[in-house]
Amino acid sequence: MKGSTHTVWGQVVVALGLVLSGASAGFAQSGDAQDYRRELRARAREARLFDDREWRLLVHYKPTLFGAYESQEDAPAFFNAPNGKTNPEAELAATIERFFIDPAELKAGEEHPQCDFPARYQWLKSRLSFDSTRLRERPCERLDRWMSEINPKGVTLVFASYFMSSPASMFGHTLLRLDQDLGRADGRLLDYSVNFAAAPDTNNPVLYVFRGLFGYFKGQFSVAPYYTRVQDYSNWESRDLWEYPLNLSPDQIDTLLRHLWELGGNYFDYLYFQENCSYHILSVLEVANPELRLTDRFAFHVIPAETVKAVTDQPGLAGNARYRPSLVSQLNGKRVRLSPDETEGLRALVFNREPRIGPEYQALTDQAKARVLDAYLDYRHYLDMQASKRPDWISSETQIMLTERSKLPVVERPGTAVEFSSRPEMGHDSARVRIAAGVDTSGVFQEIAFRPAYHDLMAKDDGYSPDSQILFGDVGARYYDRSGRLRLQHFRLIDVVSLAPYEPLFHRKSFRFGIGVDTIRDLPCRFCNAIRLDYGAGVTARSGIRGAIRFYSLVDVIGESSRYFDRHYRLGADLLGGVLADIGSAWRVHLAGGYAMFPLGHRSAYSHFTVSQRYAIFRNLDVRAELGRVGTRREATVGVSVYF
Amino acid sequence: MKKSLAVAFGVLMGASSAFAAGYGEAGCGLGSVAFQNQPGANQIVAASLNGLLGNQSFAVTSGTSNCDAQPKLMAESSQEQFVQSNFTSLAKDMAAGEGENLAAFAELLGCGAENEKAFGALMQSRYAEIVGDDHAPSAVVAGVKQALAAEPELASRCAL
Repeated sequence: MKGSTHTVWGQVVVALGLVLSGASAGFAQSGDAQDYRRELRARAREARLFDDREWRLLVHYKPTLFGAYESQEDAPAFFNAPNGKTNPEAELAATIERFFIDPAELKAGEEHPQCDFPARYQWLKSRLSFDSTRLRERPCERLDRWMSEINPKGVTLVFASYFMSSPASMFGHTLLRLDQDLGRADGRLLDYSVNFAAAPDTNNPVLYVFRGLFGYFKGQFSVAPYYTRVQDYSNWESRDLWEYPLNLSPDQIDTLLRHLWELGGNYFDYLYFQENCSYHILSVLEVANPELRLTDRFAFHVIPAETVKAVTDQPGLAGNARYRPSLVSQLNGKRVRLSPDETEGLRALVFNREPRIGPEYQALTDQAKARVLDAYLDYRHYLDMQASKRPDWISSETQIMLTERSKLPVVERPGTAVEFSSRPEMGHDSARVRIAAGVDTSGVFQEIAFRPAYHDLMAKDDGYSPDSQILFGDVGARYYDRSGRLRLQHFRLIDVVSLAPYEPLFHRKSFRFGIGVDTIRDLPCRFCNAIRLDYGAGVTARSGIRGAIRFYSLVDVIGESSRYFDRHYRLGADLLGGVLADIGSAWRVHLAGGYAMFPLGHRSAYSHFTVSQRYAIFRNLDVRAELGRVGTRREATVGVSVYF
Repeated sequence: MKKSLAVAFGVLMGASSAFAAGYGEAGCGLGSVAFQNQPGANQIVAASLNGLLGNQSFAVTSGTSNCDAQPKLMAESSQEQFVQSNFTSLAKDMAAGEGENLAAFAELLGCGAENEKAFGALMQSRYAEIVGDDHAPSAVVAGVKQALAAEPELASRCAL
């Protein structure tokens, strides 16, 4: 009897329990939930939370031209309201609404909205002081596991320096590293890193450029171990990394992580110049700490180096940058420390055919052999990766030398790395105005030039890729006293120069190309403009690994079009060469000369020669003087460049 | 003029060949896998994952992403993963007996930082056996563990 009573009561209790546990779906609690929903929405409206900076940052709203707001996020799943992309208020209301959803209503595999939007949930919870008895907090198992696996104690901004041979990397790149253990200065390889990048859907380079410029790629955040990025950027592309520890509180780091989860499966349309990798790294940092104003200063284009400046400009945000030399910089760092005998030994390893291990190497002590082999193995590492494009392939020749190395002692490594690049925030700002005055065969003139971006060959290299030039939209006009007219001197839509030194170990080529409008100076045509396209290739030699003098020589194929030409065009080539010399860090001298021939179209030829000098007074100010001759036309200018 | 245009395009094409190769700069778009299960997103990821490190990174994050509760440390797959994604660097450190990659690997094997030197010395002395001609990541991990097993004192300080 007792037993059966127990059983009956037990059944009743179980049944009641079932009813109660399912109650949030049933009518028992729905009345209150409905009330509480309404109440929360009303309170949110009253507090104008939809107008709050944090809400705008969380949903990535930016003001439109017409005073409304639109989210930069482009994935529908990122919004709770159908019109959430353009209506912050509706999105907020719908978000609160969906936090009440009963898990039973979710489709298989679908996460609860509280788990899909954990940063929004946390923010609203704290702003509206959610009553957990009336709005049940749902367990988010996947989120919790993900967060505890990444488990960041710190955040580091990483700048990957310039990679001239790829258009997407010419300006550098930024990513975040989520640091697990603050105790160790090095050994960050096992931390996770956060990258925002486009997922290109085409291998066609023309389509690639077009789609990249106009936002046809989806840009996504990704998380991967930092060692994969080091293999990518440092070892394969040989880009130095600069790591800036950021001063964020544990709560801010938690918000950042939750927000990254929200962004994870979604996407932004990727715009090469605006909404690019670096822009969205800033936008998530603003979510972490809404007091930071990082994205506001970028209106038209976002250059990775400038985003680093935006971060280092914030008082107290970024700590001292740590330099992580690329594979090639590591090798060069070892090379500059070798003694002459050791250098000879390295040379023998690189150039000896059979046997590779020759007398120059054999004559060294074990310690010296180890130093030489460490440098040589960096070189083999570089060669193997370039050849295989794989992180796990070692050629048999490398394997022989690795085995040889394993028989030699451990050598002490120097504590500080030799720096082969400089921090991006050391560089001049990317827009420039130049005012100049001069005299040429047509008389005295004044010149004004402007460009929105980026760096020219004569500007100070600090913070930029050395001996390179990337110009966008550089326009210059001259006013000649005699003619009394302002006229277009040049317009460079794009102009790129890379004078990477060719040396025994790295057979790098130099190149240049440009598209724009220039003034015809070799012909007796006063103030005629021509559309100009050119592409040149050649080699540069440098006086030692860190030498101050560079010699270059290029063959530049030139096509020009103008009404002034016979048949309206001419096509030919310029054989040119020059010397760049740095005297101290502020002063640069550039001598260049060449001979251009145009056998097609308007047949013509001329020689040209210029001597230019630059003296950098401040980071954002330099003065230049130029003396030149094109054909029979001579010209002298003095000018001031201001960067901003 | 035309030729010059063609040349100019050639530059753009040549310059962007790094992309044409489908290399990971475009992002091993692991995010979508790592964060949420969205079928569409997965396909994008799969499509962009044939680059330098794509497949490897994929495995790493998919481990955490699908939330198989796979702690990074001491998991065999993480160790293999690390060896595969990092082999060119790791082998160099092993042969030299020290280095950042070797230290990270020691950590993955559960050897404390204080055992780094001893671990490095062991890896260097057994290099030729561990990294044979056939250096599949799983074989390297097994070789390392075998070498450790022969050094009970050091092995006892690693959490194998």
